Amino acid sequence: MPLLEVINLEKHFGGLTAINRVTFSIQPGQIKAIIGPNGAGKTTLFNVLTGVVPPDGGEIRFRDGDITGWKSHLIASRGIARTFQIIKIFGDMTVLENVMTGCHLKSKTGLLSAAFHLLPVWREEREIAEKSIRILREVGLEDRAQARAGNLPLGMQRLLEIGRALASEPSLILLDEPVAGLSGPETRELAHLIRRIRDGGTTVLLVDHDMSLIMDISDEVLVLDYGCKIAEGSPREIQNDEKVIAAYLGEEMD
Amino acid sequence: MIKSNYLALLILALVLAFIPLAISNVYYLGILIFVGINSLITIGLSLLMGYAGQISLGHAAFFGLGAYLSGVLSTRLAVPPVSALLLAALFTALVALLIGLPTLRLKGHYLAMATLGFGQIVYIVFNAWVEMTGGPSGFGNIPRLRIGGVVFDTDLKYFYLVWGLVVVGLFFAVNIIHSRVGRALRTMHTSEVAAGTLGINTVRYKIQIFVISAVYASVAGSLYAYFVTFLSPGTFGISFSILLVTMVVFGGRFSVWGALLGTAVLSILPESLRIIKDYDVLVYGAVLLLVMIFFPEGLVGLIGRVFRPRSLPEKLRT
Repeated sequence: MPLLEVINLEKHFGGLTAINRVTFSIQPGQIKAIIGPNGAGKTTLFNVLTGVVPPDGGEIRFRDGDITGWKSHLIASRGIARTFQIIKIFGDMTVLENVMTGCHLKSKTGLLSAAFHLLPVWREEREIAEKSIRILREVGLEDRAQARAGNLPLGMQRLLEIGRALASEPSLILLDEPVAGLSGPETRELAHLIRRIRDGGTTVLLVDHDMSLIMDISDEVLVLDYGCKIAEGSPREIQNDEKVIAAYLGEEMD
Repeated sequence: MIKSNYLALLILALVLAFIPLAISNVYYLGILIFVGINSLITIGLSLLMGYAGQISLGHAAFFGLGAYLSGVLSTRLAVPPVSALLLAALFTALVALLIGLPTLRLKGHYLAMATLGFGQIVYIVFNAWVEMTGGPSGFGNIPRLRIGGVVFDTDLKYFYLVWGLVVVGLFFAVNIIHSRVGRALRTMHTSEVAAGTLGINTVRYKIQIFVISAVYASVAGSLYAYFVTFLSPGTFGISFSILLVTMVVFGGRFSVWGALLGTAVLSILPESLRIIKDYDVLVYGAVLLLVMIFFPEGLVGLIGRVFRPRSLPEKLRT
């Protein structure tokens, strides 16, 4: 049974069709990539899947339940986490606090118990701080825990955003251009991290333009062009697909 | 960071404990009691303004609800003061919930508009419901606050009561800020979208903080009623709501300590500058304007900039 099923999904912005009846699914334990030229609708797809914007048609099923049109915090609570192409870390918090904020769904202190700061609250705070340190160690930011997140260089901010998303213990994580702006070694490091995330039991859906990364780590690739799915298959199949080549290089002139 | 706040609270409590020994003048003690009552309102308001990113222009009305409900309940219905204070707080919380539920779902400053209208309604009711409130001339003979066998009938006792509650109010506020809920609220400074994708229901926390801040104001109102023992509507108008906002902004809206500082300065300064009394609204307006333009982080931010110029952003969020 697929973890995520997207059926005839549609999204329009005025007269522009950003997503045009797209259908695909993700099996648990996969690393699946979405590629496509700029403006193909990749980020819009992520925004619809995570409830940042509502869909205009079609259906989204996750862990065998209908989540179409749900608010983003409810979708998150079902187990989908994400990062952003334009980084949205909490810049005025420390690195550690960012990840602790990511633990929101896995902790439960409410306003009144927080006000009294009784023993269970104190204990929970310590637990999520320890868990967050473990996650920071996993993404390689442990020694920056107390730094102000906004002061980190771009590459580390991307790692922090992944760590923050992992803190909610998602069953599916969406990574929107995770290696954009990263150096070669940083990209290789991130490829290892993505594999470790998958091996840890979290299914990965990622969007990127780095073809060697995509072809290296993905189990399956989905290609979008002008909001339509034009191909889907293994990296090898995609590399030899005529439509894909045409979309990237432009049609051959007759 | 929560530990340094606790230390500050401890120092504040110690200083407060010795203040009456240094100040024997009843007049000054009275002013400090009013500073304490106002501080209780502004601590709650700063949670709303600094952490939920919302403005209330109706906090004078919540303060008024606490005062009038306590006054009416214990004068006309002989409800014991402490029970009246709690009932008033509960009622005010419900009213705030009813205002917050529809308005805080919307993006933008709808809460400010709704509370502005609400403040006017409450003000009109205080004036018009003459049988219950005494109308524009007010009503008096409110009994003194009594807790167990202790009657709070002297300024000295009242000073310790009010400031004890301010310390408790600060303790709650500091705990909330440095908690899961506080972190959830702080995300709203940068990205509500990111907060949503982490499972944070920002609307829910905005409503909760609004209700809590109304309860702070209501308790302060009850304390006011049992202190002055006479109420009239003039105290609870829009100009007091604006003064409260000014105090929070002046002190520094990203810190509950700023609320305390702003309240103290703007409550004590006019007393020592009696000459400006007729122009106070003008002066407050100018203060608000100057602060917003030249030091938007308020007095606390300014102090932080002078003493720790490099680590300001972290220090702001104390």
